[in-house]
Amino acid sequence: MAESPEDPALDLLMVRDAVARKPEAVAALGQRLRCVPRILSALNARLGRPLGEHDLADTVQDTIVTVLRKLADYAGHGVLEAWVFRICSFEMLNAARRRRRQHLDSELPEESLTDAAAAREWQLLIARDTLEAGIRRVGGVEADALRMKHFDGLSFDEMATRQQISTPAVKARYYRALARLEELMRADAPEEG
Amino acid sequence: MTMHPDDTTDDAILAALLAGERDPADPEVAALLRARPRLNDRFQRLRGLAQSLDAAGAGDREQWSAAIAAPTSLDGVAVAATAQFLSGPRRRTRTVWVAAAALLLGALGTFLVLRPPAADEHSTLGVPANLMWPQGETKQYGPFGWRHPLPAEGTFGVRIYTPGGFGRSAPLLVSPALTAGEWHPTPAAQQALPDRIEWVVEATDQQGVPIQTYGPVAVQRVR
Repeated sequence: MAESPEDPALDLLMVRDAVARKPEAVAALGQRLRCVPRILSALNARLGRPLGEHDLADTVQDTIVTVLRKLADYAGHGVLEAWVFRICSFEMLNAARRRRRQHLDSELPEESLTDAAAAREWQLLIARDTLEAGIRRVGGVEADALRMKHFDGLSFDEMATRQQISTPAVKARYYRALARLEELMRADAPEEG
Repeated sequence: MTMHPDDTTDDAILAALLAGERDPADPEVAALLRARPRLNDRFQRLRGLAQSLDAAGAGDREQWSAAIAAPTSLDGVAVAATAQFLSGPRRRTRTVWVAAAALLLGALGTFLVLRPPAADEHSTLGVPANLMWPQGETKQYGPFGWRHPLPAEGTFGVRIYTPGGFGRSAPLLVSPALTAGEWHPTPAAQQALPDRIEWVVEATDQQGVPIQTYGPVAVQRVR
C-alpha cells in the first residue's frame, strides 16, 4: 500500500482500490489526503492568510470533496500529491478571490496584500493558474503530454511508455501541445502598445 | 541531418530543438535561426513557455513536498471525509426500489426526529451528562471532557460546530489528535467561539479512520 509520495503506479492502484471501496485502500487514501489541509494551509500562509480559520476550514472541506469526486480522473502520471496540489491551488485561488471581493464590497482594507511577499505569491499563483487553464484548453492526450513532461518530470521514453506510443510519436505530440498552448496564451495576452 | 529551409519544415526543426534532439548552439542551427528571424522568434517563445512550465512544475513540487510535512489541525477532516465519501458499497444506478427505500427511511427518520424526546434532565441530545462535558449552560467552555473508550492505538478528536452544524457545515474548531479524555482549547480559541455551540468527540482507529462519533452535545455559554 502506498504510504508516501514515491511511486505513481502504486498511487494509481491505491486510488482505484479506494474507488472500488476496498477498506484498506480507503484508509490509506484518507491518510494521503491529509495533504489537502496541509497544502491549503501552506498556500494560505504564502498568500498572507487571506482566509481566516473558518474560511480555510470550509475551503479544506470543499476541496476534499472536489478531490474525491475527481478521483477517477487521476491517471497516475505523477504522484498523488502533485495532482492534488493542482486542485488545491485552483480552489485556494477561487476562495481567496471570493474573499477579496467580499473585502472590496465591504470596503475593508485588503490587509493580505499589503505585504509585498504575499502580493508576489498572489501573482505567481495567478500566473500558475493561467498556465493550468491553458493546458486544460489544450486538452486530451496533448495536455497529458505537457503535464507529464513539465509537472511530473518524465523523460520522453517514460512518456511514450505511459501513453503507449513510440518515443518519436510522443515527441511530436509534445511539440504540438506546446505550440497549441503558446498559440492560446498569445491569443489571450493583452496586446502591447 | 543537414537542415535547410527548403527541405525541412519549421515544425520539424522546432520539434527537434524543443525535444532536445538538436542544440540551438550548434553552428548549423544557430546560422539557420539567424537567417530566419521569424523562426527564431517562434523558437524563443516556445522555449520560454517550456521554461515557464518547468519552473511551474518545480515550484509545485517544492511547495507540496514542504507542505505535506507540516501537520494541521484539519488533517482529521480529510481522513473522516474520505472514509465517509467512500464508505459502503459502490453507488449504483437508481432504481424504483432504491427510491422506495429512501422514502421509507425518510418517513421513519421524520417520525424519529419529531417524536418528543424522553425526559432526562441530565442529558443533552441524548448524551448523559456524566459522559461528556460541558453541556447545557456553562460559564466557560473548556475543558472539554468525555468518558468514552479509547480505541486500541487510536485517538480522539473534538470538533466544535455552530448549533445544528454537525454533519452540515465545517467545524469552527478542531482539536489535534488526543489520547486523553480531555481537551483544553486555548483561551483565545474559546473566546472566539459563539455563545451557542455543539460539539462531538470522534474516536478513530490507528489508521485515523473514524469508528465512532459521540454527540453532538449542545452548550450555551452564559456570560
